[in-house]
Amino acid sequence: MPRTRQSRTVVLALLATLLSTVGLVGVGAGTAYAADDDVAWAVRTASNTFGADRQNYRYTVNPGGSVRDGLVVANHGRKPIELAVYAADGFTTDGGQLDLLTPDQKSASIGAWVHADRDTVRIQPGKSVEVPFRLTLPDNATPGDYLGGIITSLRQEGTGANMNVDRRLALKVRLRVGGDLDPGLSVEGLHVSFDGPKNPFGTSGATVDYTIHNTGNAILAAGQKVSVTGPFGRLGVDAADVPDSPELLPGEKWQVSVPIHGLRPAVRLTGTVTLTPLMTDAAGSVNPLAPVDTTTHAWAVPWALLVLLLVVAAGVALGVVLTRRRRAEAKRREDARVQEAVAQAVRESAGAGK
Amino acid sequence: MAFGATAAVLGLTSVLGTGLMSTANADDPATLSGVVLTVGSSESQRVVSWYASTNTAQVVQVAPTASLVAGEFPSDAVTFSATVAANSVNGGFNGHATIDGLQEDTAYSYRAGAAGAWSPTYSFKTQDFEGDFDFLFFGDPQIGASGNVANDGAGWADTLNVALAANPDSELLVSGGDQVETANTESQWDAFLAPSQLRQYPWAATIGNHDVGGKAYEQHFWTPNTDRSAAFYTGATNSGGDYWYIYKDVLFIDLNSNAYAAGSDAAHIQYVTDVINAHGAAAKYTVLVYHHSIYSPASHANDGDAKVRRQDFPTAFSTLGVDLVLQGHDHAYSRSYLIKNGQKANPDEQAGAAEVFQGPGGVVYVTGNSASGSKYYALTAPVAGEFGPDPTDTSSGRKRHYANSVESQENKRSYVKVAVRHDKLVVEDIRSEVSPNGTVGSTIDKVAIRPYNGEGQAISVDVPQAGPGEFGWSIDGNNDLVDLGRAAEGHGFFLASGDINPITVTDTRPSGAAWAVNGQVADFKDGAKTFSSKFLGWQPHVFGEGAGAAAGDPVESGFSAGTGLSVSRTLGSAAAGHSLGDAELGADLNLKFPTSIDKGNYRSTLTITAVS
Repeated sequence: MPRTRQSRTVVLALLATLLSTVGLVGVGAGTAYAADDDVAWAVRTASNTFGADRQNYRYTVNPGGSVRDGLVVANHGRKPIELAVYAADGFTTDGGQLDLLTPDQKSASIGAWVHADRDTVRIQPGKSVEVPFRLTLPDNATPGDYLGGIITSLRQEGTGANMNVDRRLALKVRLRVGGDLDPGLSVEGLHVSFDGPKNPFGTSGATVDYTIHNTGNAILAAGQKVSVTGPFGRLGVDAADVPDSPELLPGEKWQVSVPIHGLRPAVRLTGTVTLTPLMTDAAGSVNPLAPVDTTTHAWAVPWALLVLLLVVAAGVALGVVLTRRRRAEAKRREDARVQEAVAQAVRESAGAGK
Repeated sequence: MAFGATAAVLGLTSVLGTGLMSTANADDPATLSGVVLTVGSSESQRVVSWYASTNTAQVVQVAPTASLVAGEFPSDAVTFSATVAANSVNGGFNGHATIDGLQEDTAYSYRAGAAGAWSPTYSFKTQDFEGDFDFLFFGDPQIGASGNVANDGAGWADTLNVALAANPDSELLVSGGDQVETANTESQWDAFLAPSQLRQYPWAATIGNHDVGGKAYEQHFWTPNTDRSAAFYTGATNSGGDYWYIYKDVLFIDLNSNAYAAGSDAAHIQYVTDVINAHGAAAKYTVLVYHHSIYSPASHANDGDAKVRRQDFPTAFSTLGVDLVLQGHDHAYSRSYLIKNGQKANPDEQAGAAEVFQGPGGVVYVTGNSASGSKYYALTAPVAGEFGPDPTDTSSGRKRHYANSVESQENKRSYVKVAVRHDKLVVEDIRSEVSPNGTVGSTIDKVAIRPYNGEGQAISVDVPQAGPGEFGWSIDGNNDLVDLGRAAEGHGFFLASGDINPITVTDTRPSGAAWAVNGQVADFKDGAKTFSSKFLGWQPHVFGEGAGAAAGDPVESGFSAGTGLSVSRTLGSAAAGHSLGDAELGADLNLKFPTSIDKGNYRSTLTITAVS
């Protein structure tokens, strides 16, 4: 339901309005629209031999194979709408969600392999239209998992506003191309940074940074375990529960930064990241695959402790020097005293001998 | 306790089967055994599981039977990669693959393995993906319980032969647990898996107390949507987990009832609650399946766990609107009255009634007899003060337990047929072995369970099936989704703020698929002049909660640092299994850009994409 509309009459022209206030361009005043100009449309999978209540599309097809299916688009608004229909490849956003390439980006898989029977569909209010489409794989399609979507798009351009808004409503297409499935994850750029403790005898923290790279051809999430240990595997500390990564498409990367608390200064640290590839099968159960360990080493010089040690060492050294000096002085005096005594004795002896 | 997506590590070293190409340089090809067809997450899936001698790349190849020529698979047969894992008992490996995307009313042929080392070719058929269907429920085969594996296996095979000869269009074979007598004895598993029907009809496995104590159950069966949380009996030597699937109009929830100590009953109830909340709307009926019968007719009736569960389970199941509970363990047949909150729901219900009307909270509990004849338990007398006698049972001698409408022990094999119809579930216990009371195929008990459809429905109307759910939205305004108001000059920058008009996302698909609405802005351009879209940031809001919506994280303008909305950002999203309904999303916008940007009339495109 619409919220307030007080700004509806000054509508947007994003930069026109914006920049006009600083004297750059003229005002681009928007047009007022009535509430029944709201657009409302919906998509669903066609009801056919694949079933009547699918949530989106998923196929397993061999290279060279093809599948025919359909997308149903319903107009729930009060005016006819015309929508573009096309497919695009998907990607995982920094927030871990699936998004689809924009029209100015070139799709290489789903977006290139799925073709609707028509590019646009015009739908009367209250009606729905089924748009058939075909997924056709090239003979040399690489085996593995692909994710993309079939998009319906309502684009408005050149209405006086300086911000075009492309509204796209899409259903996912998940495709597995038959053949070798070779799931793999690797850890890249593993780096441990150590925060030296202020208190020489206290514990400290470290941050473990790395990038998960889906190096295989299967869609995978990663179960993660992160630990840091001191020399000889001692003084180990595990990170608190690190959540699983989102599902990553083949080739995608995911940056992770994990704080570790309660480390003892240990001069040399070893950071270990263990990833368990989690492959969710079509039936919704998870296959945990063989874990992958990656380690790195980092200097964790306990500066505060070192400074304290230096002070102590300097004190000791000074003490030693002073003691030596005192001893040398005492020895020198003793030597002088002995020498004097000897000289005296010699003198006395010589005098006595006369 | 986290449910749902939690997947404990199985502790197996898994490798993934690869396709045909890689077998050229593989070791000796695997020899397959114990191939079994099991249930997937919906009527359009099947899972195939097997034992393999090596962990080489393996697949399941599937093609419509009509496309096979002289038994040869066509070149375009679809290959489903298998997951192959090392067995943790008995050596060797186990493989499984999920066959997905099946079409209705189609006969399929399949084989597992790899080029040059295929299993024999097996077949199954799909039926109409909508409407009525029958499934069969089998009480404990427990192969080996008699001490004679061959006899038990023969009895089991005979029951399957009889049941499927009489009901060839049954669509599922549902297990009551205790497939075998001793968990890791493969000779018993071999006898259990011998009948060819287990490669033609999907077996919906249930774990019994004789199936635990080893990993063989998990090695033989791969189940859909499985939660292996510790509360459901994860352990180095245990198998199982709770799982669910939807087959046409029925939501099946299968529990590992071996887990009953240390809060497991509460965990099971939470699992059932979560699954019904997330997926109940997608099905007309809810059927629970687990091994340990709580309204047991024989000696297990007064087991400690049964006593506790008669307190723990029934009220929750009534509240959640469960229709039918299928159980095993006691090797005798019973059918309960409609039980509401642990008590007989309707005092007027007659023993052995042929038809019952559920009313709110009425649940029918069935205990399966032995499907193999390996072992039977005699009906026992109710224990007053515990699982006491039915006051309406006026016969002399042994009486029925208070919860039960029918109790039967003929010491002969039987199976249960459940007919799922648009207006009722028909449960029928059928002899698969001749007894003094009847021939093979004759009925021991039959009841039609009429579901409860809400209060005050005196008039019945046939309403055409509602349209399938949709993923949609309505957007406030035909254009000008974005309003940034007027910019103000700050110290070295311009600042404008505003909002995007509300977007109402609607998800009425019963399955509650995950969805996300993302936004991304292209660079601002005026001819050759351009400036970065990173200067735009936003603070997403959920104005109207529903459809499981959560607002995306705030995104700062990239004026100082960061990429702003130049990359895709989430406005709102919902995880899988969310509730149905509407969510209203919006965002406050924040554009902060340097005063050094050249004068011009810049244009850009905001792309808002909702995908599910």
